[in-house]
Amino acid sequence: MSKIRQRDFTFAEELPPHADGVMHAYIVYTCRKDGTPHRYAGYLDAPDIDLAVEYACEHYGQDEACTGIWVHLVEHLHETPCAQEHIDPATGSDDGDSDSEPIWIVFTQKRRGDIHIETGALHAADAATALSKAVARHGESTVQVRVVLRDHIEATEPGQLIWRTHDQTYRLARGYSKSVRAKWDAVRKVEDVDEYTKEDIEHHF
Amino acid sequence: MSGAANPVMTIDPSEEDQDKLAEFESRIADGVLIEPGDWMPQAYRMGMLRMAEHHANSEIVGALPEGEWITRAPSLRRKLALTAKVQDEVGHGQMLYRVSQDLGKSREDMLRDLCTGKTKYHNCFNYPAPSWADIAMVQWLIDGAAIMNQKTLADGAYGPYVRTMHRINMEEAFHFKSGEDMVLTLMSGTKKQKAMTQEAFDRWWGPSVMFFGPHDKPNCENLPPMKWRMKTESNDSLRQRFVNRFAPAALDLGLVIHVCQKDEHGMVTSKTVDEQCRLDETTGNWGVTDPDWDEFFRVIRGNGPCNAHRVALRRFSYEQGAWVRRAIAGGATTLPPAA
Ligand SMILES: [Fe+2]
Ligand SMILES: [Fe+2]
Repeated sequence: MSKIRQRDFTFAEELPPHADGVMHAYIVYTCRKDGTPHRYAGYLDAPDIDLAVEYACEHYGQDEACTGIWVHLVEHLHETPCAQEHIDPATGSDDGDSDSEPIWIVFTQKRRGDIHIETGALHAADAATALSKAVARHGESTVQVRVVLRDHIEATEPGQLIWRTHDQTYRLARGYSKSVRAKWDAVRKVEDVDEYTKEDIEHHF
Repeated sequence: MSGAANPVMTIDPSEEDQDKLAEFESRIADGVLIEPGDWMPQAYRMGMLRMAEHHANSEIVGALPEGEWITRAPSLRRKLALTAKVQDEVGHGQMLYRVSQDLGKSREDMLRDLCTGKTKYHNCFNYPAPSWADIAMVQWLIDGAAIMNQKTLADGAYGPYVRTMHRINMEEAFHFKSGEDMVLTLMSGTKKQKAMTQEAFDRWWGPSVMFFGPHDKPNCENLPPMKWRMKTESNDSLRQRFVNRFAPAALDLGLVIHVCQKDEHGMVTSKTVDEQCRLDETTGNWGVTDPDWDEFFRVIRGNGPCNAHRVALRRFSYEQGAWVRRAIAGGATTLPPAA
């Protein structure tokens, strides 16, 4: 064991002072496969957006296969209140797009508690108009609509390596399923193993 | 969850806005998820904060004993897996601190309160892991218990916490499966490996049975933590499901379930076979000797085998890392402290 871990620690009475400097909260989306929508992954703290992308790649990009990451400041999010049942698309208004206006990315949430998923993009002069258009176009069967100015989103490069391409089954449950099953079958009755694996989380094993 | 009285139990609900409270409760009863922008009782906000913070603390402290074994893993694949597992756990801490921050406490304050002992982490991480078989046992029993618990928490009412649980559980599945693989490998190995695994099992079975916390208060379904779906299954019911699943599995593997006496370092000094641990044909439930709850509360109060060491190592890391955090956050740069 390393010396550091074995030694006796002595500390000053007080903790060192609070760290100075400013951190911001960023929202992270991951794309599992090129051409599929970006999905809400989580959020994190970082001092600036470049480091936010780095952290996002190291953390959320390593949880599962990942081909692209989007990151933006929490403050850059504009959203409708989360509806109890469903949003009424008629509460929004859609007067068409003008190419001269900036692009907004739309994310929607299907049910309360679900993650937000990229649903489309539109042109609008400001956040309120963008949100209203997004509600009219994408609000159907959703509980919440969010818009973010595309320029506020930092993305990884197309083709950038995030999820490593070498065999990573050692960090996935399914990398063990077969050998575990074979070892159990050698010592237990099939019904007992079936009963025991009932508590496994179906689609993750 | 374990620990001292959760604020959710101590804040007087009559101080809340009664109309809003009634609406909040009826929404929860309807299975509607609560989002951060929604109105929520102060006791709920404090209770969720405490729960998420305790959970976050547990993730990063739990990674400490496992991190010590990375350099000593028995094969390259096991080393890669353990490294990934430790990274996952610290990532869980990151996500849960982030959820807690939105409920009103800064990350810096949470990290500091953990170092000074003001806040706690899960009791089971105060026990020693002196052999590789302990690492296998932790991943099989403790991550197994954590999955059972977190699956029910993913069915809770607070949106951000629920989403985090779903993401965490995906990784817990890997932790558990690789732990199971390690235990199975050891138990189909040499005499020496089997003996080492039995010893580790003796050290971890007790803490695993205590994992879900003390016996429930009567009427727990109607008290705030369950009524507000901060948790969705009682401690005793989770414990019973755990024992039903793991006791027969351990016996089939050739392990013996013991009731153990331990010294102050958490090492077993004497043991007897747990006679209670058998299937009750009428109920279909497995029995288990009730754990020593005095020990449970002694460990919570800070007097477990490894409490001092875990907190010291966490504080050491916090202090050693301060200059990095300052540099990253654009504060005054300094040299690293002497190790
Ligand atoms: Fe975890
Ligand atoms: Fe885990």
